[in-house]
Amino acid sequence: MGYVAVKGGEEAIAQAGKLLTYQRLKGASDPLEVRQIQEQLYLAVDRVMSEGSLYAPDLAALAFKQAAGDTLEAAFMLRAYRATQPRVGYSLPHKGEEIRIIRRISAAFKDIPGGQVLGPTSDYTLRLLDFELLEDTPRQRQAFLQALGRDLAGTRPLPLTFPKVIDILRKEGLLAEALGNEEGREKIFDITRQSLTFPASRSAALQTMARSETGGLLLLAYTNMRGYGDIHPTVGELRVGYLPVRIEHPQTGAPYTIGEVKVTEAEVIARFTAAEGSPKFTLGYGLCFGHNEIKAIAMAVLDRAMQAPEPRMPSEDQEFVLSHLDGIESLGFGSHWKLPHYVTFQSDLDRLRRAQEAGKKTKPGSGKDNAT
Amino acid sequence: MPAANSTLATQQAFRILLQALSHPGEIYPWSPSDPGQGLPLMLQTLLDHEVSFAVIGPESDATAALVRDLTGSRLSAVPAADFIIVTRGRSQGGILAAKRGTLEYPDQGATVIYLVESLDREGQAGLWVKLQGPGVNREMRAMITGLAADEILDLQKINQEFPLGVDSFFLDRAGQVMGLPRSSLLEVQ
Amino acid sequence: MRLNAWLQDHRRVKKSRDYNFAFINEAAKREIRRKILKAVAIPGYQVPFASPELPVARGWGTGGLQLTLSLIGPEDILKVIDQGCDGSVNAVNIKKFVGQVTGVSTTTDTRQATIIQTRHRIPEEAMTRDQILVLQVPFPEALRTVEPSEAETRRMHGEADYSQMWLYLYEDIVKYGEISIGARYPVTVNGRYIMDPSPIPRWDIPKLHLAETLFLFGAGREKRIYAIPPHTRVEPLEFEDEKFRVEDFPGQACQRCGSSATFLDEIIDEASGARTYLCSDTSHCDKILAQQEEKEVRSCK
Repeated sequence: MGYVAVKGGEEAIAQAGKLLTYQRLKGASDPLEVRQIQEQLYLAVDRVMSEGSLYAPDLAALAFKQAAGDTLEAAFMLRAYRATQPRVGYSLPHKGEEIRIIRRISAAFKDIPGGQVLGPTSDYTLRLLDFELLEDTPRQRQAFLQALGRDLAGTRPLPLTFPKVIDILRKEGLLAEALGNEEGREKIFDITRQSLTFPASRSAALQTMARSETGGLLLLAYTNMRGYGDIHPTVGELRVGYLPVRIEHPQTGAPYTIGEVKVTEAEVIARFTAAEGSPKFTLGYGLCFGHNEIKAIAMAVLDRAMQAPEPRMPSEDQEFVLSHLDGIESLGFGSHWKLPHYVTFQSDLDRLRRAQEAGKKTKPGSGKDNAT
Repeated sequence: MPAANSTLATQQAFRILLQALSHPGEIYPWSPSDPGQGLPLMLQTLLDHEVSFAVIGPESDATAALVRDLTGSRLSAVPAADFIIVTRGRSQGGILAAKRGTLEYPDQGATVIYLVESLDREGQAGLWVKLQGPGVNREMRAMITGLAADEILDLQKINQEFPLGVDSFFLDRAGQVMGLPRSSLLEVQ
Repeated sequence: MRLNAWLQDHRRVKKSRDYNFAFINEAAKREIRRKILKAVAIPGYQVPFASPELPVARGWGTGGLQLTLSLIGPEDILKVIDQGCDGSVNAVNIKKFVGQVTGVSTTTDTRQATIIQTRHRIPEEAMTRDQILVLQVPFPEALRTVEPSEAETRRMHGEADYSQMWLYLYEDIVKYGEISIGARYPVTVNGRYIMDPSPIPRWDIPKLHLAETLFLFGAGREKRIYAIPPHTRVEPLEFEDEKFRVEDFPGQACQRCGSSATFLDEIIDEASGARTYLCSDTSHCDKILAQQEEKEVRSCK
């Protein structure tokens, strides 16, 4: 009987849950260890941490396993777990300079102080399927690692920190000071504690983008890059590495390092603005958990786009951008249409029938139906 | 994380506050077993380090210390405070400085907690207040002892430009509570 | 010092993998509770709140759940309905989750419940002053139909500038002969705010007016809470010569209990293709049926 079948109730839910679990188990392969996911599918883990807004590689890997590889679902699980955790303190602010680098590049200058560090990147690999991975044997791995070890002999370790590329521009007075710096530490908005209101402060905007869904963020940034907007970004610097996390020591009040988190940071330089005084470059900033370069770049582009004094394009409209980026929200709402809506539909039916009747009375012979 | 019993105590307290604000002018028993616990429980239910507070009236220092210790809330000047505690039912106009919110965000208006002698349905000693508006079936009358008549006049002034205004709770020595949202129309009788 | 306290606590919690009573942590509950009180004090006004994530998807009742979980105590009796039905998968799911994290008892009887969480319906039986109805809200902003920007709708509410909404309704009448809004019919609360009553049918709108019960509305994804206190004027938007009208089911009655004074679901019979009707409020339908059976038993004696 049509919709009434949705009244399946508890039994149906239980059986559906079992079927879901069975999907993961029905193959003959060995169970996937959470550690394997954490170590070998690290980019997926990073993405889940970033969108789930919780730095917890083991839990992110667990969520990825449980969600059978659906990053949206996995990020959702992590976010829900996060919401149960009390806020016990605030970390101290940092400069990106303190990132312990594994990769940093600049597109703005051929050579940069400290040098370009390519690091682990797939940028210059050919995207050819590597059929050797079909047989990913311990022997092959061992051979690779041994060769790598030989290569490393005699190389110098990277310095602990690198100077910032954009500081060159800043020193020469070529860079406009970023908006929002005047907010100060006390005024930092906390999107997990307050609902976003508009106009949103820059701290609120950056937080929202940092936990946003990668694809959605890229899409909006791409509209700007392609022509619905004109910021023409140059990657001033892109960094991947480990940022120390510091808090005030609860007893002494002195800064105390409690660990580090892997982050990607992007600074894009955009065309100059001549609002006041001499023309200067402006900066867009992006930072997210884990190694996710496209997310950091897209974030920086949108950060800059939203600084437009008179928004004309979707990517420049702060409310438009920030209201639609959260993967957990869009996933939930997009899928809620699967829920029964037969009461509202009944109400609409009543209206449509009535409107059709009214249409027949006022326009005899007219074949047009306005109501659809 | 508070102990389980405080979780349940604040849950029950919140339901009473919610009832009180939904039924302005009704008097609700709050903590009959230990009337002295009324204020601490109310503070733990509503305040924490995310909000600020101010205290007006005698013994304001001791009360402020209590609030800080119990909740971690930040002491601030009256015009910035999210919660204002009036210790002896008399703010001498101090309440007029309270936040009333903005037209876009009227919820930013303060919440005022008046500590008074007693709340009653009958008697002559106190101040009779008549209420009308949302939550009230036609009209309600309540007698408040230990509240200056000026306070009601000041609340009328503060709340005359709805939705701007403040919302109040009255807490008496017997541990009873009464709510008074900004939407109520007040009259002193 | 707070950190030390947490560290001790955290070790304990980590081991037991326990969640807090009613799942949401106490600080988040406190924020929701503060916002609920403001919502009650300013009837029909949407209070922004932080809306922490729940293990239920956004759009699946998280706003309602956050309210319920911030209200509920061990003594409460909970009823959850979706489309008027206690047995709908979503209602069952929500009831199961709240049960798991609180241990409260549940019921399908509207009269027995102290808290009722609902999606898209208000129960047919009148509720009392001791009960609270929690409504799940997908779109908290009634003006969103005429204005997509939140900053702008905020301004409109602030200044009670509702001319665009009235113009929209007027144009609707010109186009369709009457206001074409089905469910989610906008109302004015306490003569001040235009409010979205959530996607309840127009049938349920009159139940909001001068009611005995407190109505709380939660929009989790949009992060808004609003309320209608008891004894508050709630008026559907209408013109003097174009009155608000509830759905009608001319000549129809529930196939099961025979009721013609309830909101009905239209059912298409698979075999014959014929249309039949059943009560949308399933527990009310059960009750009527039970009463009839009782009467029959009595008259037999």
